[in-house]
Amino acid sequence: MSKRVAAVVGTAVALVAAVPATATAGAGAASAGPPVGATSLSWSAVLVDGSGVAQTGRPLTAGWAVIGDRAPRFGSVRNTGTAALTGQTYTASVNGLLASPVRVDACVGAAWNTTANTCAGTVTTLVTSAAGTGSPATALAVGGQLGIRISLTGALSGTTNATVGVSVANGAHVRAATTTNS
Amino acid sequence: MPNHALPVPHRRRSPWRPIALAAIAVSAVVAVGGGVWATLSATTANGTPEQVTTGTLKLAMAANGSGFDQAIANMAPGDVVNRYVDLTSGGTLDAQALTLQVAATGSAGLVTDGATTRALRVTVRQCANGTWTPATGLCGGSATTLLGPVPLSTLASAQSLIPGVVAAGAVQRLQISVQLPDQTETTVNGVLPAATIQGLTANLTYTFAETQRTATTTNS
Repeated sequence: MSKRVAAVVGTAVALVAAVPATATAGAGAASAGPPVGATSLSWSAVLVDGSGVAQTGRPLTAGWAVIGDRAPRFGSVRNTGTAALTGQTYTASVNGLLASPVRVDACVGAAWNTTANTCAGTVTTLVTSAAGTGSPATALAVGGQLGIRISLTGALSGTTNATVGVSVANGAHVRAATTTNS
Repeated sequence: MPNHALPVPHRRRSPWRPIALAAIAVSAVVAVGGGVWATLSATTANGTPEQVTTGTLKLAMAANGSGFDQAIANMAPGDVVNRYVDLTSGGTLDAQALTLQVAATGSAGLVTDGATTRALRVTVRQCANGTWTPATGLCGGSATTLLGPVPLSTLASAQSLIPGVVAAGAVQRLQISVQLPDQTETTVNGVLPAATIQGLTANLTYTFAETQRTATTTNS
């Protein structure tokens, strides 16, 4: 193809490309500049074990394998969503030979002293294995976390394996819907 | 006295002579013939040129408040975000068939419903004989719903807002509502549910369009 022919073809292609495919005679249009972004919140909480490992996708487990070991286990619950949480729902269950019931408490406003087993803030019970589920109104800011303690509550116990889960639902644990004008 | 006349010099004829004679003859025929075929004619024209102009069709959008310049962040189910724009049909021609089309890209969960009613929805309301107050969402005139609520997927094609005439110079004062339908999701142990509505982003481009009034035939 000669340069002249190539130039002519190139010009024709450019002209075709320049004409909008949807161009309509006698039509006017107005559109916004850059697209408007609309994003949705996420609500999520995860339990973290005493080593700092987030138990994403699974419940937190705590075990007492030695008879006579009644020391509490510590961990935390962390807000991993983009919405502040007004509460959470916890589940707790135990199994094992002569398993003891457990109670899960949070230390609100302070951190657990794991050595002394004390809380300088307010101790709030999140759930007991006897009840199975609990829905405390413990607020969690975005990225925030709350220390928890899992304690055996039975007078006697053999081996106990406790399982604690957490869930959040927007209908119960996220701010109410709003209407915004701007 | 002897008549010794001098010989008459012989004049040589120019070789162009026949050609010249022929040209003269042709010219004569043409002149005579022209006279034979002449016709009478007469013309007239308007003294002042008739001016013909074409109308214009323009549609302009201006924000009333934040408009579409400000992103909508962190929507929770049930949230409604209202934005306000003024559309001016600024040409010299009347228009008709005002429509809205929204090009949406990004997360499919916010754009397409499928068999659900979970994706974003858009409602368009008009404030006639008054203006919207963006801070309060109040209409100083008469508020009417022009469209919706419809899911974004419906707005992939142009939807009618005003099917009839839009007068030249008219301003449509619109409220555009974006709503995330109320729905409940539970996140267990930090894992979002399948096909979640959470943490998604959609990018919306609003295009308003109108066409010229119906063409007319005028006698005057």
